[in-house]
Amino acid sequence: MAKRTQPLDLLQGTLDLLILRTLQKEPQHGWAIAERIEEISEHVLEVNQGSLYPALHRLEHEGWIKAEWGVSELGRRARFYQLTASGRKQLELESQQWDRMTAAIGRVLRMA
Amino acid sequence: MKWADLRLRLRALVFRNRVEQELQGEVDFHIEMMVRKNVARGMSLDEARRQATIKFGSSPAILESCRDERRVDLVHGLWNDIRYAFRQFRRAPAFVAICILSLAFGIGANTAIFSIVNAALLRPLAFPDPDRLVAVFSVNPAPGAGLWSVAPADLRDWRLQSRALENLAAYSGGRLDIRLDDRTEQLTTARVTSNFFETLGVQPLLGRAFESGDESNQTPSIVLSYRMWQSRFGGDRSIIGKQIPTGSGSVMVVGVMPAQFTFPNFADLWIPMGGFGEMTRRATRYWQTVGRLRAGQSVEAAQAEMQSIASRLEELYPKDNRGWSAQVMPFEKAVVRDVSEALWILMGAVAFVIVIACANVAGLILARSVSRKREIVTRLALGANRWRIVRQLFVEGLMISLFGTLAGLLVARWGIGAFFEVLPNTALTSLNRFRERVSLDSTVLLFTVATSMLTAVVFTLTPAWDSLKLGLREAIRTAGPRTSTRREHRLYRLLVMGQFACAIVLLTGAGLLVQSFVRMLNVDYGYDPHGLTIMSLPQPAQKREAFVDQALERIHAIPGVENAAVMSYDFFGQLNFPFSIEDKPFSNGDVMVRYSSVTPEYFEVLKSRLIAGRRFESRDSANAPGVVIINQKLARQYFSDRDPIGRRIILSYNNQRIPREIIGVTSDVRQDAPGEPIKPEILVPWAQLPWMDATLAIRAEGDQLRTQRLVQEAIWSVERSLPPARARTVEEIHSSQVATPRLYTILIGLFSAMAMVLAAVGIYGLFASIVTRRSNEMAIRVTMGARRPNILWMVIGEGIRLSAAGILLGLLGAVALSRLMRSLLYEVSPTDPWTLGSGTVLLLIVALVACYIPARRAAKMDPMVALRHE
Repeated sequence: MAKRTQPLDLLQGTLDLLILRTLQKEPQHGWAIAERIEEISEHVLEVNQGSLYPALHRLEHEGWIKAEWGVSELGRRARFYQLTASGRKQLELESQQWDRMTAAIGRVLRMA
Repeated sequence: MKWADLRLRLRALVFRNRVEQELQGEVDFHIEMMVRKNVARGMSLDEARRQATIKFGSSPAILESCRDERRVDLVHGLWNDIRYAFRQFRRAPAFVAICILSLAFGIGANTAIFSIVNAALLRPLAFPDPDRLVAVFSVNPAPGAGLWSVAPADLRDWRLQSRALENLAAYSGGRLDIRLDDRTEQLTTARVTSNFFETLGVQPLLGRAFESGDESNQTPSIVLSYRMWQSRFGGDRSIIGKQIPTGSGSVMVVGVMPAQFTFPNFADLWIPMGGFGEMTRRATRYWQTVGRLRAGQSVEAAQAEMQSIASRLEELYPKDNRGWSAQVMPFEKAVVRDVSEALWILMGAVAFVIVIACANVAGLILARSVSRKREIVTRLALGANRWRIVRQLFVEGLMISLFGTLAGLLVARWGIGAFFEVLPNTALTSLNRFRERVSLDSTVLLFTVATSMLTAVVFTLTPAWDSLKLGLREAIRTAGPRTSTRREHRLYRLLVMGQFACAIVLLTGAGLLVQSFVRMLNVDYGYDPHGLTIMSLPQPAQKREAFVDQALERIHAIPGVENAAVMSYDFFGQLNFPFSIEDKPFSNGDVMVRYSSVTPEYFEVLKSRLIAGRRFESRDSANAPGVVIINQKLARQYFSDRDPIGRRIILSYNNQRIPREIIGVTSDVRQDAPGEPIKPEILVPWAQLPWMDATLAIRAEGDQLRTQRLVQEAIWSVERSLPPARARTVEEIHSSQVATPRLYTILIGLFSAMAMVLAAVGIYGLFASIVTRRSNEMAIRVTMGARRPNILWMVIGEGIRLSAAGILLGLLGAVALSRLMRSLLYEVSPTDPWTLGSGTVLLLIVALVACYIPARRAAKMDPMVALRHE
């Protein structure tokens, strides 16, 4: 499996960050979140449904996102997730951490 | 915990269905979107669906992990597990029923027995600082004579001289006739020294306890038991200071004890003793003692000190005390010493029952685990969480033990009731008295429940353990219907073997008890018990000799009464007196022998034989030379080398040493219960030495109750003011003598029957499982030409071999344990080959019958069906 240039599995913990980021602009349902991550990452990242929905529930329990039923673009009922105030704070925090970490890893890779 | 978290958890719990629907809707929506996307890419609808489903993965697993995120799963999951367990149980009702019944018997019997033991022996002794309570016994010089009660004068000296003991009190039994509402009622009293309550450290509920000087009151003070106070005086608080008329005067109530205080012997009331010169008696030993150690003193220190005091007393009073020493032991141990051995055996027996019961449950669960394994592997393959599976099995095991416990509680309650039903009314009345105190004992209940839970849970978890350990692929490979059963069956076989081992131990124990019980019933009492009644003869305060003569005369005149005699005590030869031989005194001082004072008719009433010399006659009157008759046992023991007739013995009586001539030797009359040896006995003529209490021995034809009534009327016709006499037939007395062995026999018999049934169920379960698992092999055998009887005997033979191995193991254990049984047995060797042999045969027959059912099924099986079944 790993030999072909297949979509990468997400790093532990990064899914939460990506979900929060995806929801920054507007509320989305689960399907759209997954599609959007794949699209923007140009299909490098693939969201496994087995992780997506548990993650959404986890974030909801953390109080960072909340869910509401709405009507999807195709006129079908869907569950839309949106960021809460504390979710925004969390997103900021995690983005900063991510930046610091990738910067640090990048430095090590370049200079070591 | 965050607010959102809490809110969502609550919502998940309360609106469970809605939350589930939402989850499902979300997943459905996702899949639908995937399908649309695939269709848009140009797939056919079917293909689009297929691809979407494949890509989405196992939706139940995803849903499950979403639920995990909700974290209310433990509650929901548990509920699901319980429902699932119920479904499992419904599919295997026989399995569940047998498990629960096994546990019910095991837990029930254990709890019932221990609760009774606890109420009878341990709880009445709940006194403050019980560790400091001791009992002191006199120790007899004769070898093997054991522990004795204590003489009042010895007790007084011990108490005065001891430093290690803070206090030393005494108690003894007695009876008192009281008159209430013109009715005379006989009460069981405890005669106690005035420091009795103080020594035990108990306070009265009402009024006061005894104080020094109470024993010398002309109107004796009494302390009432709570039960008596409630039942006879309606809990009247003004009872203190009131006088109650008795058979010979009156008594005054000074106090009432609290309800939980019933020592000794569940007494109705306590009355002081030791007054009127009783405290100076040194020759007769009849007081039980209880002492309290000074804080910081040990039993050993008290023992050493008591021994030195006793040896001082020996020098001071050689006549009564030569050779007598003292023994101090912890009070609790002293009180239960007679019964504790039997009770330990009983507890051991019920422990065996619960072991067998647990083995049953374990075996059944093991047998089921084979099919459970496939189920578990399937669930694992479908993506189930391993710990969910473990938890679910755990819940199943827990539920089995829970139901077993509930049923066990019912059995225990019923068993306690039945225990008191089995008790004969005439016997062990003291046991009946504490009936209301028996409650289920929580300690042992906890213990048995814990044992059963552990068994059920450990064994339900074994299949899960295997599957988890092997890993999924290996587990699937080995979880076929016919494979991987060998290990379970090996363990199951060991369990069944253990059951048979335990069962044979119990069975032989029961067999030995039954045999010794039968021998006790057929024992030679040395007299004809049939038609013999023992009746107390209350005497007036004055002119006793004339009264006794007159009463006897009237009783003889009653139609149906063949003969009647007066004797000194409740039963034959129950008193103890020191004696020596005039021309050959014992080197260590006097020796205790049994003693009876009897009227001349005694020998004819009992129909005992005269071995030598003559019986008492009317010429042996008060003024004639002192004579005695000895029993054969005494003649053999002390006059083995010469003719006892004409020799003189010296009887210590009321501090006098009176020489008396032996005029006859009579055949032995059994004084005590059949288990006890016959003791040397001396009989003296009533006319020469009347005893303070008188008892009638009456031989009469026909209805004994009628006789008793007529005798009562005859006594009242002489003296109307006397209290009613107590009467019992000798057969009743014998029945109560063997009541305790009968009880043990019944109980052990019951337990061994339970053990046998449980072992039968165990071996049946094993072979039912073996036959099912090996139906393939059997079918192949049949197609290859094996005949049905071959199959039948193959299975039965295996069962017999297995049970025989277990029995052999158990027999070794039984022989090893038999030493412990010896004290309960009467004229039966603990390794009696007949008992061991018949127990073995019985158990083998049980095994055979239990194996026959699955064996026949195996033999009747259609090989084609069995082979196609795969």
